Amino acid sequence: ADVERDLAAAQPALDEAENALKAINAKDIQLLKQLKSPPEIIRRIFDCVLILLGGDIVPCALVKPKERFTLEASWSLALPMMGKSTFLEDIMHFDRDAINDETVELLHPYISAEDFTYDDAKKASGNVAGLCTWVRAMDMYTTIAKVVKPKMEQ
Amino acid sequence: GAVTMTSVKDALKKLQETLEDDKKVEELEDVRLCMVPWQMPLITKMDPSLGTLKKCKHLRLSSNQIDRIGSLAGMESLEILSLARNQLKKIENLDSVAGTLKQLWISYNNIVALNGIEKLQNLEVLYMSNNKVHDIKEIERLQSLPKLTELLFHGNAFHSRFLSEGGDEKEYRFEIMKRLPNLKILDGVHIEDEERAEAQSRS
Repeated sequence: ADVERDLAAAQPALDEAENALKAINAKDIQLLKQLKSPPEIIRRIFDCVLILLGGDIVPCALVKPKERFTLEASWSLALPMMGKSTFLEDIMHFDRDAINDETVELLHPYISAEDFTYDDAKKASGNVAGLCTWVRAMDMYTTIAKVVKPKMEQ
Repeated sequence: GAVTMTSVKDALKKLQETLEDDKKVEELEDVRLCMVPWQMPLITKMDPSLGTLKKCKHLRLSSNQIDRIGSLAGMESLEILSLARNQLKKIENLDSVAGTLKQLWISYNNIVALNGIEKLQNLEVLYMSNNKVHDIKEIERLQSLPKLTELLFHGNAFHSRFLSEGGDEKEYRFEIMKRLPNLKILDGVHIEDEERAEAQSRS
């Protein structure tokens, strides 16, 4: 019963992420790819997507696009990923049980930013903000699953 | 101008400022020094102040600009060392923690060779995706680690070359598994008995 209750705690976030992903279509991604200078928060979200999908990212460097420092984004490495015709499908079918704690740690500098939210991303760039919801849900799921899985093995 | 790098010593001092009065950094079991960029600049060097972390089991130094492993002497409880997303080239200077270290997280670095890893006789988990290992012989060095059960290796040069030369994901897994028959999890996916048997039959 413990296990069921723990897993149930992750379900709303997973449902929300699934709906947010469904709201994104290929045209949204196409438009984003064409932007010469995509919004800074969108670049950060795509860094997280690269990290979750195991893609390459640039080494850490601090940049200051606005009033505060942030990590330099890997946008040039995100573009080929977005160019894949199966990109959105790959995310839909992503194996969340394969995420490990190292990946969660790598997401931390991004996710802990107070403006790393669906609303902030939505203002900046419409439906692709759903990827922010997805990143957060993957992070939360992994954290909960870490508690649940040992109980299941008992 | 703005400060864009920091020492471990300064980072520990700042971490101490975030703790409640009665808590000391030296007492923490989980020490996070991976940067939240708008609070702290990046770390470029490991220094002997790490040795004060006697209770630390999990040291998080990922997402920095560290180019070599060093100064772990005194970290007598260390079980998980995370140096992911730095600029490491070598596995080195781990003798002082080899007795306790169970997990090494070093994905997203510039590591080509794994010499030095054989000292970590208690290692159970090695995460090293997205490095620069191109020779499968480096994987054979892991055969000297009796407790290693989980490996993350995708995104290395060996992996991409294998795929670009016409191999598929399944064969790539066989290549690793037949060299490391004790692995339980490879690239986040459990190894089933059937898969292990098939890998062995190919060697």
